[in-house]
Amino acid sequence: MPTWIPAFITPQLITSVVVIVLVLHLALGLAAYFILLERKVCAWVQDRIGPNRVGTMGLLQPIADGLKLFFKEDFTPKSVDKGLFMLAPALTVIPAMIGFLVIPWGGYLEIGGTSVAIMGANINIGVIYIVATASLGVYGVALGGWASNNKYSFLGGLRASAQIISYEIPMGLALLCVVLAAGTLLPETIVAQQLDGQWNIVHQPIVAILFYICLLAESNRAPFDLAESEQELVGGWHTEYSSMRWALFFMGEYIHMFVGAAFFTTLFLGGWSLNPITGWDLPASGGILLIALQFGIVLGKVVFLVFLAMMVRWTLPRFRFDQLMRLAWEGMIPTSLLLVLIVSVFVFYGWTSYLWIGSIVAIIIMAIARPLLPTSATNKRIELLGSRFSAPSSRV
Amino acid sequence: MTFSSHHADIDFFSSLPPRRTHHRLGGFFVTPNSQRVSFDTIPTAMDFTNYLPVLLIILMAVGFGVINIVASGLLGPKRSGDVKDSVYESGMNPIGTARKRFNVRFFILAMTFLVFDIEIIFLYPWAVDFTQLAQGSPEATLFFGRILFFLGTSIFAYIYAWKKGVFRWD
Repeated sequence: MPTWIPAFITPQLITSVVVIVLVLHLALGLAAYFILLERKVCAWVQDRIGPNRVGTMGLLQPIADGLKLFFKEDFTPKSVDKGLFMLAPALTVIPAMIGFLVIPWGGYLEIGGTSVAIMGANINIGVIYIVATASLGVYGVALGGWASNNKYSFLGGLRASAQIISYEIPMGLALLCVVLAAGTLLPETIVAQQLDGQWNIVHQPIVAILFYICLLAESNRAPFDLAESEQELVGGWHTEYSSMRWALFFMGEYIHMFVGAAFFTTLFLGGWSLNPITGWDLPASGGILLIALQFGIVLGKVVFLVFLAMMVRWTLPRFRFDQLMRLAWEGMIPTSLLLVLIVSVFVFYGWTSYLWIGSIVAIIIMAIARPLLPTSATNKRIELLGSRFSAPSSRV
Repeated sequence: MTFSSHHADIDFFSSLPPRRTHHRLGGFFVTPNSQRVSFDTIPTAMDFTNYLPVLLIILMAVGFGVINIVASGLLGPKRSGDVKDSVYESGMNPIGTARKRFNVRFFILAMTFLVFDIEIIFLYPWAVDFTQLAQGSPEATLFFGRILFFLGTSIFAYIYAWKKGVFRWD
């Protein structure tokens, strides 16, 4: 570097800035087009055509929607808490937008004799950063529900807060399993290990499934969309919102999905790795063409995971609230705690190549233990006198 | 480019500049012979350049949020009326405020969450270092036993909460 450039401007910093600007715009653009994709997938599932009026195949629909939303009235009801009402959409979209910083979008770019990592920031707290920023998203939802002074919004905000904090625990424990096996917090090292060996989804399939379910719950996607549930809460925490503030909530949700899918790709799908098992794979460092290819591979995996989330949304019905809480606290948390114990034992004895056996052992233990665990005594099926669905004792 | 976080830290501490010996009034100062780390040697200054992108992206995200909210406030029409100003309650006149007392289960759930979340955060440093320990050595066994005890306290609290019916929502 020339001497007139200050010492803190390193090639890594310049790369980071380029990656940030590029991926942030990509995330915003993709968030808009994910909405179109969602509508197309929904139409496909339900045997309809979907949006096809604006542009070819409806491709200009997100732009038209965005422009329309800017010119809609940004309405604030009289009885709301003005400051918090204004703040809540921003608090939803900001944590979602800053999350992708530590995702490795490619290997190392060899340029001018040095090699720089293709990621937003090369910080050594690594994956903790994503978890920390992702859990900030609950403030936007909770404050939106509280500030609106609307009973539906309030219920939606409460439900969303309870749901997001509940699913953060299995998510953190699932991530702990990966960190235990990898022995590092750095995402690029986790990717490098999967490049040398197998993808983590091969090693720890149950952990991957738990993590994906938690991602769906964290971004308020169906079947975990209790917070907005249109049929009972008229949209939940964003009932009172209109115009761009309303759109910010949705951009927050879709960017959150994008970041979550990228995080899942890094942790379990080997980032830009092409080969799930040991053998030939892409080189880790190279010129700009290789980096572009790696970026494309990561993006392809991300889009596939988002598509999977959409298929889940349009396939499964919504949970009831007690089922949601039971799934988190009585199903996923014991399973993930057990997995942490099993993985730590495997790591202790150095059996890290056989972690998939640990996943199978966890399933077997949970299947044996499930009937032994305490169950809630109430909320059994209501006895109907004379009904053929009731227990035999109450039949007439 | 294969380095892990704590290797970098070890290298870092061995390459620290010699400790300054002058006193700082009102500050936290150490005698030259002390082994304690003073403010002069906390390794924030050197790591800071890595965190510049975090600052940049926070600024960009805040800017995006503020611009969107301000722009839609300026561009859209502004009309109000008695009925329009009220909150939505399925077409009825809103009765009372929405900020009433709510179910105590949410509070209990939040407290249980705090127990677990803090436990998980304490487990991350262990998880990073655990693979580096020699497998089967007495220190590693002791270390593992301590963590199992730590996990056990949380699991005990969890079973207690389950028996108490914290997770019952019906």
